[in-house]
Amino acid sequence: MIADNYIPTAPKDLIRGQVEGYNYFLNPRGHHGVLVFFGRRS
Amino acid sequence: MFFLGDARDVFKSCQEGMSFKEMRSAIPWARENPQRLERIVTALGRLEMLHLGKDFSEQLRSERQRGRKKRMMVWLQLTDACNLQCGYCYIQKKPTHMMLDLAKNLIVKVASDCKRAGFNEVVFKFAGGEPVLRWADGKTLIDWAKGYFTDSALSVRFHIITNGTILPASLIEYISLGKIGISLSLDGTEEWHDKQRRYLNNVGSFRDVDGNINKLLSLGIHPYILTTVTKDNVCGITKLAEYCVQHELSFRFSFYREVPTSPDALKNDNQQLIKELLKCYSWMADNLPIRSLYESHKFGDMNLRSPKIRGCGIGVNGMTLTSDGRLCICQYEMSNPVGNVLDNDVVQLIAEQDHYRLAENRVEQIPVCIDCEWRFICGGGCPFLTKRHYGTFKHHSPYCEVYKAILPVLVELHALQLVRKFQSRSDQTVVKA
Repeated sequence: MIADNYIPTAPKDLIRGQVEGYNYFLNPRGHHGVLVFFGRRS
Repeated sequence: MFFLGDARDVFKSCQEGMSFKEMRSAIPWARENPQRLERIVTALGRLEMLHLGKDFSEQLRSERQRGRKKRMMVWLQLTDACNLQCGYCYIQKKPTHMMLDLAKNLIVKVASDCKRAGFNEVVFKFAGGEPVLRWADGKTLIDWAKGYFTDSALSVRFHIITNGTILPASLIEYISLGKIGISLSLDGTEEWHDKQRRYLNNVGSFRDVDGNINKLLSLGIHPYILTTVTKDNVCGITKLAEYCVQHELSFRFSFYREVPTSPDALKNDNQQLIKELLKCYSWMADNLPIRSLYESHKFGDMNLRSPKIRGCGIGVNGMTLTSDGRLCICQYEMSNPVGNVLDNDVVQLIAEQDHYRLAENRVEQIPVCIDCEWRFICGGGCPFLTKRHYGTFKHHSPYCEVYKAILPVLVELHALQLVRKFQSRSDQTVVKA
């Protein structure tokens, strides 16, 4: 359960960029590799 | 890993500094479905894209440690002899080899020390020299270990690092049966490989190696390709990538590491290395491997899914045993053993030796690396190569500028593979973020 007043934050040293218009992210301290956010299906 | 729009909405809101409550009212779908909002925030937290507090991070860390196999990688120098004469090789060749009884005693000792230290698995890598020259002993060791370690809670596995010039039928059979894994050295297509990897009579080895790779492939075995990049073959790495991608071979680029006796002519020019790597990764962007890049290619010791505080597993989960039973912290340091295997607790000794003090040489302790965004990816590179160049471990790697130039490209390549994967699955238009 997440408290109402809790402010989740993104890691400050996140590596980010864009490929073919899509944003990608890498948390260099994380264990999940590169992540890409896609838009909503229309 | 990729997400659709709802997760993107949440991530954007977090970047804008919204509290959980504020997100519930600001994101239209979250007003109707707060449970979904909580699920997505938690999922992003589990993916380490959001900090959800110290307790959450501690829980993640302990889950990760519980689920992880603690594995020790042991370089077992079966022989100091080799049938090739590669100019860059830092192993001192001698007609000596590890006696079979000594090898058994070493394996039992290392396995016992590792088990006591809480390891779940030990992988013995038959190496040399050319270990296939002693394959009869290797095969005996595998058969003996199968009986010896039957009841052990510790998993004992074997791997062979070979130059690929000789592949006895029984070795192929053992690989097929999963009794041993295989990595094979290939430094390029014929023109480039033969510049570096020649027999003692000076004849290039490519044709034999290529023939053996194809023999393995015809049996459904995909050996892992190890490539050493020097000034001599750097212009051939794109061709090599083509060869590997076409044959669905996983491959790793390692960069030349010299010892005092190494020829200077092989030393990489960093600018040329960057140029050729950019060319290679540009080709790969147009010809992505079928399998995930995480499995199919490695740039040095780097793994984007495995942050590290040192360049490799030195002193923690890797060790080298010489042919006469001495313990070294790395095969690159084989001329400087830290002790005798049979007289010491090897896990304790590699952690506490004073050739490379673990506690003093984390990447955050290297002044020039402290503010680098890539420090947890490269871990500072090979510490002994750094020391050889600059006389200290507390300096950036001699390949630092290469890492900084190439890592962003590599991250983008991984992202591109995700985009392609998503596009091939998606039968509907997506809105670009």
